[in-house]
Amino acid sequence: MSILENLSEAVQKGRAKDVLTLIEEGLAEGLSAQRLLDEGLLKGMSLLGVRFKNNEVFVPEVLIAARALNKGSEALKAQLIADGVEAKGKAVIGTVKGDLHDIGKNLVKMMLEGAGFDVVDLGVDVPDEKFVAAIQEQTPDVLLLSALLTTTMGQLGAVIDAIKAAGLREQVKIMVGGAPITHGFATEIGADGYSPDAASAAELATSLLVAA
Amino acid sequence: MDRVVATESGLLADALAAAGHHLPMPCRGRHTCGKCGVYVAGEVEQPTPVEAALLARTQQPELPGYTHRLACLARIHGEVNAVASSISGVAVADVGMRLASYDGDAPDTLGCAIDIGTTTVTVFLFRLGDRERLADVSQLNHQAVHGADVLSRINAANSNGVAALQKLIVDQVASMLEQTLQKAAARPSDVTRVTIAGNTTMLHLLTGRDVRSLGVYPFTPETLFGDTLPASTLFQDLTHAELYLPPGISTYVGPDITCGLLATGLDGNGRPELLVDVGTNGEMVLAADGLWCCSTAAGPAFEGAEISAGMPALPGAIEDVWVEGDHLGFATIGHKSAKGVCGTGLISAVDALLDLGVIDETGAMNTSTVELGSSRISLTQADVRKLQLAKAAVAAGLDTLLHEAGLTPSDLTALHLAGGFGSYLQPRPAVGIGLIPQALVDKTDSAGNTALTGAVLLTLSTAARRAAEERAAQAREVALATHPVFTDRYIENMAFREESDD
Repeated sequence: MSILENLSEAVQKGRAKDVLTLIEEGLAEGLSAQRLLDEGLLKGMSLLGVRFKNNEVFVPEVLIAARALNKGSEALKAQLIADGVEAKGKAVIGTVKGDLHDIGKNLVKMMLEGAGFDVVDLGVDVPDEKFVAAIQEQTPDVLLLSALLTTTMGQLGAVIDAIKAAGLREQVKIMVGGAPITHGFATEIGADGYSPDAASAAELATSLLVAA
Repeated sequence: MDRVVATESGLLADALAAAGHHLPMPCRGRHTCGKCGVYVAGEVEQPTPVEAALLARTQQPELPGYTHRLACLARIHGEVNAVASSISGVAVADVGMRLASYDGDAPDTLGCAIDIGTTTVTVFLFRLGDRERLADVSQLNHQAVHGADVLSRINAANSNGVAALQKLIVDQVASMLEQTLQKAAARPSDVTRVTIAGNTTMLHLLTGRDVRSLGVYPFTPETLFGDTLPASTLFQDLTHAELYLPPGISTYVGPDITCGLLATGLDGNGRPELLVDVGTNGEMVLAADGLWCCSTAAGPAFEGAEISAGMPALPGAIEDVWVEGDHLGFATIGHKSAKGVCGTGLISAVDALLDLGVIDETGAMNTSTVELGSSRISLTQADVRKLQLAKAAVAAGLDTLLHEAGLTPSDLTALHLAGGFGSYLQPRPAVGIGLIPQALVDKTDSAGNTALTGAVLLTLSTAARRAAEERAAQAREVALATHPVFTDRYIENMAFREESDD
């Protein structure tokens, strides 16, 4: 197997130490930091995302893999900067008011960071006005909203309405996610995109940037 | 004071058990914890080197005319006077010293210290004059028919009405009070003071309060207690007693934890120490230059629930697993044939399987199931994953408190493990799976049921109430759900160990 394939495999198994060794080897062999990131780390995470969707692996495995991904992307950071790779874009992320779930949100955050986004995390139980203020202050390219409960998913629409009312809707792409959310629901409340899992969320955010 | 007689040479613990005195033995008689201390006078053999070493470690205060011995090791021949040196795992002399600092009053009447645990209810009856324990009764909480954990009780109260659950617990405590009074040949009107410890939900149900808001965000309690009321409002026979419900710190760091602070002597202006009560929730308090507390949702894995072969810590449960050459040895509670595995067994099994390389640091198993020795009880990959989530939550909570206090694990002088599960947790396997930091392996002690011990202190001394109220007011809750350090540490702690170099 190539170093990139091994790196992808190590991320899927959550073997942080192997990830760091492989990155060193890869850089020594002249592979670019960008390729190690895209075709090694993120590839592995995205493959694991598919297995997660198919119920082949569960939350702990994904968290263990995210931990390895995080360490890997940290190790690549200096080289990416040295190579002149700029942040892909800026994202603001948070779980809506009344909802305390953060594991899914944190995974998406890590995936975005891994993919080269500059991410501002507003945390959980975030009031609508705080999202509005963050758009004004941070001027992100993408806003990602999370809701894990059927009782809080309605809040996603409320946030989008508040952003519209503040006249900021055209400035930012909005993505929504969480267990009860569907593509239809996302369209209905006026979001730009919906992704069913953390790995595809990073891909979607990237494609929304290109579209913008 | 109890006199026990052994006509033949025998273990002190066996003689006490034969006389109906069952000492708390956190290490279950394996000579490792030094907690089954008893003051004895009479026909006792000299301590073996093992016992002498354990005794040196416990540093029990002296009781004139008696020597302090361990019931699991001391052998006796004939007539022996024995005084238990522990109340539910905490030294009586220790309690005495703490009481002295409260300059308590002591009328010659009776007091009751009660702990309503989600699982177990215990009632202690004391004579307040000389602080002698006259009787005790312990039973499983009758509300258990409505589920094992706090949330299922809240759901039951929501669908059946609070009154139904209140009746269950009030009737149970009333009958347990009656039993202790009968044992002591005393009347209900002799009782002047009652303290009831419990978590916020248990005390809400006891006092018939609305629990709906306890189950949903932002988890607002109707009260955090710290009240004195006539005991007859709940127990009509207790016509002369006042009932004290200790104050809680927050909804999920309740009056039981405030009692734990009293029991372990933790205050916010002393040495850095940690109290951890592990069960379905892991509540912990860090005492240093202030008190920081939090509650983490560990889930039921530590209690053996949601584990494929899981069971509570009852006879027949595998409670310990270790490496013997290239296979696993195991021990069950009560030396019965293995029926399942309880929380301590699960932790020691995973620790042993990590040592054998059957499980790697990321939690991946190299086989789909593994039998624990020749027990016919197996662990699955899914079981290991559930333990991983539970241990990460507790370890991350601990890391977050340390971060808030600006400390590292090696700054701590002691880790007190409390509660039904925590008290039986062996430090080495707990460190082996990364549940508690390596730096604390030799500083860990099992503190027993600290909620009950705290209730005892509050019953024996009304002055202890001020300390309880001060500590509850002083403690700061660290909200983990919104804490960035917790999130990072939760994911970091998902691995069992630092990865090895192979």
